[in-house]
This record gives sequence, structure tokens and C-alpha cells, in this order.
Amino acid sequence: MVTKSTAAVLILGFLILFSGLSLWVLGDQTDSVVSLPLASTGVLWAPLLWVCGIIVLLSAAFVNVLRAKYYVVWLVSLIVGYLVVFGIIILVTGYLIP
Amino acid sequence: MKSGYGIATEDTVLQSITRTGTAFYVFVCVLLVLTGEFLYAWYIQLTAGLVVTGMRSIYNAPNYMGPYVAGGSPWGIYITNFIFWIGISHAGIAISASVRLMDLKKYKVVARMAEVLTLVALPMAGLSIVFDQGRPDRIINLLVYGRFQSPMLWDLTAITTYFMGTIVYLYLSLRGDIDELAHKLPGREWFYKRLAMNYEGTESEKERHNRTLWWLALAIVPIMVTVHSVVSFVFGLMIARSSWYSTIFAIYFVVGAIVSGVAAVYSLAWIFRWLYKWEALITDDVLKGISWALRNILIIYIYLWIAEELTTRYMGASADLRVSDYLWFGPYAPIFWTMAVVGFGIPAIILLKPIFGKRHFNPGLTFAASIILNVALWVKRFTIVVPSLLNPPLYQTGIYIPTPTEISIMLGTFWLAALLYVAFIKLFPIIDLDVVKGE
Repeated sequence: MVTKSTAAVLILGFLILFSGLSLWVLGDQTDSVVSLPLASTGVLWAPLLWVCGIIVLLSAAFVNVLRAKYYVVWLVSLIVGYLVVFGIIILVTGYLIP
Repeated sequence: MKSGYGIATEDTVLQSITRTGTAFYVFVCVLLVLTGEFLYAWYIQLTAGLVVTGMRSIYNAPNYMGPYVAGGSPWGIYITNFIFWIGISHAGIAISASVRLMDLKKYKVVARMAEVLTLVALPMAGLSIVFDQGRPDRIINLLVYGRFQSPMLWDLTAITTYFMGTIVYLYLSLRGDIDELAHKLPGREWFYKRLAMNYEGTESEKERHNRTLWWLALAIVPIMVTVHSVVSFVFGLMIARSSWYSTIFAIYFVVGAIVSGVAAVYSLAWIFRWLYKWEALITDDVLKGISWALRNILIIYIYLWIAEELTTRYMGASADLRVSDYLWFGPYAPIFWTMAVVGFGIPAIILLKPIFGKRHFNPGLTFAASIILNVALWVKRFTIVVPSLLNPPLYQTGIYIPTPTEISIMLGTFWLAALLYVAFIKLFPIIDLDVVKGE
């Protein structure tokens, strides 16, 4: 049986994921995305939301078995860890490439 | 757990953590030296550029350094390696999910080694792509400027999802054992206690974990199929062979991935059994079952391969025939025929032998077959990628020979994977402790 909290995280994950996808589609097909408040912050929200959505969706499995504070630790670790991998590759190779 | 080889207890399983001999340190030192050599080779490639590899543009082009350079293949052993590692990664969840979803308790003993294989293989696949990029410092552009219509973005998405799913899955299946390790290994209690995150081990908690893992297994199986399917779709972006756009390509890739993954799990299971004398845990029966699965999926793969070759030979487009000729009679013919006869033929005979009677099953020989198969599957991916790109539709172009730098970098993924795997088995039990408890 799926608990209420698991269902809530699953729905949240889907919402974030589809928000990312929607921004992507909008950005790809029209210029309207520029005027959207999210996009005007200068942050690349579409890919960020897309990846976060996937991670939140999968983390729903943790909600069922972990206490809230541990769940948050895992969720943050997964998201930050994912972005840090990109960061390290960019920093190290960017430093070495002439 | 009791078998013909005696009784296996928790201590039997934990000896992979507690027993560390000189051979282990020698092995790790060798891996570290090889990893150092790989890092140096990568440093050379980063500072000098992809010109240190054997990869070149498809068509002949004027060269500012000389008259004309021969064209070549824009994809080489890095992409081959990428497909190989993605294939290996299929084993983990395929086997673990089958155990859980189909209640195949007998194979629970190899489930974790398979899951860890996925966790180690996926970053190696990602690294192979990083190596293939001339400017890895722009890797974030894959996401930033990714087009959601492109298989490239879906590839990244599928791999990310699979990797994250595997981490979640592995942690949940490991959590109970981590808590147990906190009690059994007092010296490392601090580490395990924190990692177990207040696991209490009550019946209801175990039940909750099992239920969650069941659902997660169910969700991850389609993701696994998606990952390798999308890898095949990426090939549709390249102008090479018409078969790269065919319906069967994704199926062909997925089946190939399962063959290499299951073969890798057999190899690992045999190595652990030999190394720690785990005959009571990883019984002949378990090994035989994996080898049967391997045999059946290998037959399907060989069938798909023959179908591909035959349809190309009797009615293929001229460009496709040229690729086929190149493989059958051209410069890559020695590789192709050695792979077909030695790499697939011999393992197929070894795996088919037990059909004629139980006494024909030989675990050691089957281990050799599983290793040969994985080498052959790596070469198979090479023969899919390189000869096709050397023969684009308009005309034949140069030849691709990987350079020593390129080979060192490619091999580096194997040393890194081995190091990560070794690190895992020194920290966590490679066999679920529930197996010896009979749960």
C-alpha cells in the first residue's frame, strides 16, 4: 500500500518533472519563455527542474521507510551529488584544457 | 544456510570484509598504478586534444599541416566502451528485480553483486562519453542546450534515472545489513550507525522495505530497457548504415546488453566463490541456473545477429553491403571472424553442452565462456560502430586504429571499476545477510 507521504512525493516529483519539460518545450518553440518569471532569473530552470523531478520521483521510495530528516539528507545528497559530478568534470577539465 | 558443502553463516559472508591478505594489497596497488597510468593518458588527451586518438572526421578533408588526411571514424573505442558498460549495467537490476518480482529466492545470493555491478558500470559508461568529448568542460551543454526531441538528451535522462534508481534500490536492500554490521564490527560502528539511519529491524520495518523494493524493482525494469533502447536510438543520429534506423536495433541492443550483463554476473559469482570458498553459498545449482539464462539469451542474440547479416547480404542497400563486405572480407575480417568463431561459437558450445546431461556442466569452463563472451561482446560493439562509420553512404573512407593513449584511457574505466568494486566489498557484504539467515 502506498502511504500518503509517498503519494505526495510522487505527485511532487511528477509536477517538478513536467514543469521542467514544459519550460523546455516553451523555450524551444516560442520566445514566451523569456518573459516567464522563472526563466528571467537567469537560472537554467528547465534542465534543473527536469533532473530534480526525476530524483524526487525516485526518492519516493525513501519516504516509505526513512524518517523525514533522513529523507531530506538523501534527497539533498542525490541532487547535490549529481550536480557536483558535473561541476568537478567542468572545473578539472576546464583547468587542464589549454 | 546448509548445503552439500557445509554450513554458511554470517561470518562466512563477512570474511570478504574482515579477511584482508597480502594478495589483496598487491591487487589494489596494481590497480592504483594502472589508474595512475590512465590518468596520465587522459591528461595528455586533455592538453593535446583528440588528435592523440585514432578518431578522425568521416570524409577526407584538406589538412593545413599537409596535403590531405585520410578520413576515418569519428567514433571509436570510447563509444564502444560506452555501449559495453551500459550493457554490463543491465545485469544488476535485471537479476535483482527478477529475484524479487518472480520470487526466485535461490538467486538472491548473487543479487547484490549484480546490483553493485550496475552501480559501478554506469559511471564508467558516463566517463566513456566524457573521454569522447573534445571539450569535456562543456559537458553541461548536454543539459543546458539539450533538445528534448533528441535521443542524446533522452540518453542522459535514462542513464540518470537508472543510476539514481539503482542507488535508492541498493541502499534500501543494504540498510538492514548496514545496521547489523554496526553491531558486528565495533571498530566501524560510527560509520555504519550513521549510514543505517536509525534502522530498527522490526518485522514491520522489514516488511515495509520489502514492499518498497518490490515496487522499485517493478519501476526500474522498464527504465533498464529504456536505457539501452535509447542508446541504440542515438545511432540513428549518425549517417552510416540503414540498419541503424531499423526497428530491430533497439531489441538487438537490449538483448546484447543482457547477454553481457548476465555473463559478467556469472564471472563475478564464480570469482567470489573461488576466492572465499563460498561453495556452500554460491552452489553449482545457482551457477547452473545463471548459465542457463545466459545460454538462452545468447541463442536469441545470435539469432538476431544472423538475421541482421542475412538480410543485409541478400537484399541490403549498396552502402550496407559495403559495410558487410568490409567486415567479412575487408581489413576488419580477422577481428570479425575471430569474434564470431572464438568469441561466440566456443562459449555457445560450452553453454549448450549441459543440455545433453547434467554432468556436462562445468562451472570453471562456463566461467571461461562468460569471460570470452564479454570480450567478444566488446568487440561486437566495435564492429557495429567503426566499420559502419568508415563506410558512409557515399564512399569508403580511411581506417581507424586506436592509439596507445586511447587504449590506456579506455582501459582506465576497467581499473576504476575494479577499484570501486573492491572498495564496496571491503565496506559492505557482497551477499545479502538474509540469505544465510534463510529469510
